[in-house]
Amino acid sequence: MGSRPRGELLQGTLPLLILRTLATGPNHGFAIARRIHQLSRSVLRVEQGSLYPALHRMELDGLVESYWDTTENNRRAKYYRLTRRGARRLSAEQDRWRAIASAIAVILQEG
Amino acid sequence: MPLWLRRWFVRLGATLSGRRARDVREEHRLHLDLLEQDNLARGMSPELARDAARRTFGNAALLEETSHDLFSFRLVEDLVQDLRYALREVRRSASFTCVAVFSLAIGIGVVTATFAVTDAFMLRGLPVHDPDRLIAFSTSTSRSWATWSYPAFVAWRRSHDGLFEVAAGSDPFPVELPHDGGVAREARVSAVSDNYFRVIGVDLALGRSFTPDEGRPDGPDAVAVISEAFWTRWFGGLPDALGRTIELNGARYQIVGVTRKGFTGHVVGYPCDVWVPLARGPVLLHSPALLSDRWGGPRWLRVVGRLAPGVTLARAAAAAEIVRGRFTAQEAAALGTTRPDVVRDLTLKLVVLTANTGYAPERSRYAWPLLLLSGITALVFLVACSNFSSLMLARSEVRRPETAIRLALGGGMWRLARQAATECLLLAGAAAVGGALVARWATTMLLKEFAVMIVPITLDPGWDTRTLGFMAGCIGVAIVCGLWPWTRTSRSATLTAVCQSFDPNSRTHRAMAGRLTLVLQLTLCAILLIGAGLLLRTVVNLRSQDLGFDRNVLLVSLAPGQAGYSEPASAMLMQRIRDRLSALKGIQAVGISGQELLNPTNYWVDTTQQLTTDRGAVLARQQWTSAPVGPGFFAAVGMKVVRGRGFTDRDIESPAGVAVINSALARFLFGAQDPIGRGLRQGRRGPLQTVIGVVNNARQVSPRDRDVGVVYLPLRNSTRVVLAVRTATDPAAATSMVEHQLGAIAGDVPIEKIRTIAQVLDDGIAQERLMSAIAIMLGALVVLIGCVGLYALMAYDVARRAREMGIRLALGATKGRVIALVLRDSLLLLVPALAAGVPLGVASIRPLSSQLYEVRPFDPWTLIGVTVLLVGVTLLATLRPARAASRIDPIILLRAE
Repeated sequence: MGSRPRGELLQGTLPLLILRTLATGPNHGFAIARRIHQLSRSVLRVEQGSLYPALHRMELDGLVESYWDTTENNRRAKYYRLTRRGARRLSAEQDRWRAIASAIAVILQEG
Repeated sequence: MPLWLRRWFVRLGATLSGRRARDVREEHRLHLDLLEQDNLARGMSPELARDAARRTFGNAALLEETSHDLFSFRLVEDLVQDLRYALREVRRSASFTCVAVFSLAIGIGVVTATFAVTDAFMLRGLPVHDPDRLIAFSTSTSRSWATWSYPAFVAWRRSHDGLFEVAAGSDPFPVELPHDGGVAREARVSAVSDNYFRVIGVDLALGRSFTPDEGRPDGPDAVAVISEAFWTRWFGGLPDALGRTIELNGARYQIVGVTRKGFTGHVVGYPCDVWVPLARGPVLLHSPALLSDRWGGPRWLRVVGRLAPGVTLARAAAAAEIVRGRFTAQEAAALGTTRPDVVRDLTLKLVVLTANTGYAPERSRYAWPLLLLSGITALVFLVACSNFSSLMLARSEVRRPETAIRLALGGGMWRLARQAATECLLLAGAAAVGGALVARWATTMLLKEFAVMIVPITLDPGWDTRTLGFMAGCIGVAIVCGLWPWTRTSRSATLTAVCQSFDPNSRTHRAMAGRLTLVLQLTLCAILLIGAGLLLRTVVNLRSQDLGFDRNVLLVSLAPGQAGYSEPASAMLMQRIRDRLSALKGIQAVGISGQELLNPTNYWVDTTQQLTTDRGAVLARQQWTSAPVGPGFFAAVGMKVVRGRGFTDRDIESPAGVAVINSALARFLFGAQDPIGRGLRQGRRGPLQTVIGVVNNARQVSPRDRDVGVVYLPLRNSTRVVLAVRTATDPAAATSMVEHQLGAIAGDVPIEKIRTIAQVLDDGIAQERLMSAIAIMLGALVVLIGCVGLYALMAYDVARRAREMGIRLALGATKGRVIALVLRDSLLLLVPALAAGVPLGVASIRPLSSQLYEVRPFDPWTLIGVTVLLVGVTLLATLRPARAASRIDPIILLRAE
């Protein structure tokens, strides 16, 4: 796993990715990280050092909420799910990201 | 819900439940475990899998910390930590802290109390609209507001040309209210013109003010406006007070209004309860003549004016003076030369004063003590602040290595500063609370003492914004004083400081700062003690001086006139009392004086009326006074007849004018010639009086008077007299006997006062005694505070130089030499303090030298006394640290290192 080149996350994109991941259903921290990794075809890697602070900050801001549940392996885990405020934020952020990405793409093509 | 509020709630919930940290840890553990499982699944060995998982996960503690910060009040937690730390520091040196806080509390307290009283009595404007436009009418001879007759007020009111509007009010006078549940109470009543409230500029909280109709002498109904304080006291603050009545001198007055809170009339320090229309004044005062139609009639009103916008004081004064001139010229011309005194009064020039601070007749008498008190309390406060500062300096010095290490280990400067500030604020806060209590207590005590010593005033200094602001300012100064040592330490607290602090021979410049504050304190001590010493000597001199008569004479004030005796009847009664008392065993002599002795309120030294001799020599601009005395007076009070003779009963009865003068007057008027048989007259046209005797100089009216000429005249009117009784035994013990005898002789004449001359003297110099008492009390306080500072500094110094002392002792220095070394060190602090304090003390008392009596500001005895005292307390304060230094055991010291 460590042999692959590491995908650095762009500043400020982690919350967006977390929100997108949670849009498909509640999950715990480890699963969120793994899912981002898988969905990006193993390009993006989320560091624990930024994942949990980001999750907690989002929880503080009311974008996600947490509850305790058991995993498929019967372990107690803290699950996060999207709040209504989080869902709103996700769609807004997605639009913003698409706009920026297409703008950047245009510039890169011109160059 | 706004985001910040939401965050705040989540944080609060997390802090309160305390579950958050556990949750975070569990969450991380799960993550670690899952990582490990992944690794195992990939075929790693168990140990390798765990290690790899840990490596991937990173610093778990840091992660927990980050999350913790997110869900907590970091600032609050830090603050609590700082506070706990500060408290620990405070506990560690409890006694020292206590003294610093205590002295700071006293400093803040006394200075605030002084400000509160000074402000309430001297500085604060009347609680009215636009007080700066208020003016008061005075004359060139009186410094404060003058009294005016009713016609004078009316004249100004009618012809003011729109420059100002005048109102008039009598000073409040007491009127007994009907008994209420057996308790007699009195109200202070002031008779005021109908426009009084409008002109002064005070709103009515309830009801209305007087109508012009009600102001007429034959006005319809008796009405009254009451003060808010009286309303609360008498009517419980109920609105139905309007329309109810109060009984004043048997007549009922209907209440029509209540003034705004805080307004107590134009006289500061003597609150008014009830205002009645001007015309009611003569009725309540039982003297209808008050509403006379002559300008020169009875003067009983204060005249207050309010300037129209844009009018200057000078313009208003000129206009008012023209009115006065027009009216008084006619009247003076009509009187001609028949009433020179009235004419003189009439021709006094008008002076218009600003009246924004109201009328306070006692203000000038309080000004002195208050000014002195302000100065001294300011010094006490400064000393307390410097003490606080040196305490904080000692603290930061002790903590210097710790600070340096913290900084070296990456401790934030900001955090360290906050810690120091927390400690300083904690101490200052404690001092502020104590200071408020002290101020409360000191204010009441101050007013009570002043009332006893000078004259009663009623003030509510209160805790208004000005006083609170002043106190906050004081606390601010204290905080700055406590913080500046830290700024010094932190600047130099680098690693080099650590090295330096372990240098045994470090007598750094930093210790100098502590010494400097101490020298400053001792200087202030010296200044204060010099002031206190000079005032004390003044009191002692005033008390012990040769008054010219004996102290142990009983003075009994009697007023037969009040008991209904006519003049001849009074004279006969006095004759009877003298005969009966003189016959008693234990009473040596009885005399009568027409006025009280040594009473400064009687103080009246005439410099305007001339004294002429039969050969025309004029004593002008020379201090002289006259005193009516009866036969036997000189013998009774112990005055000596130097030449000629004293009065006899015949002199009193005979129509021929005779006089006895004192030696001072004899010298002024007749020089070396024999005054006996010569004549003198008061004023140019007074009756000629023949001098029959010369007596020694005695302090007739004031204990400070020296060489004031006195003309003693035979007492003609005995309706109000002072009986001088010289007893064989202790006069205080004879008091009851004399009282008993007087009761037997003339039981219907009440004894107003019965005191010895010594007691009268003490009352007469009350202001001086009060000032010296205050100076001594506060001086003692400052010395005490200074002593503690000295003790602390020397103790700290000895601890710092323990190694040096140990080496000295190890090398064979005796205990005595070590003690002497420390003592010498502290005495060396005193030298510059005295060198600065003595000239400063002498210079600062110089403006007060008119208050001193027979002692010059540069008084060698006082200076010697102060020096000896300061040396004594310095040695006393240093003795314990010095002995501690001498007991240092080099062996123990060596082991400790």
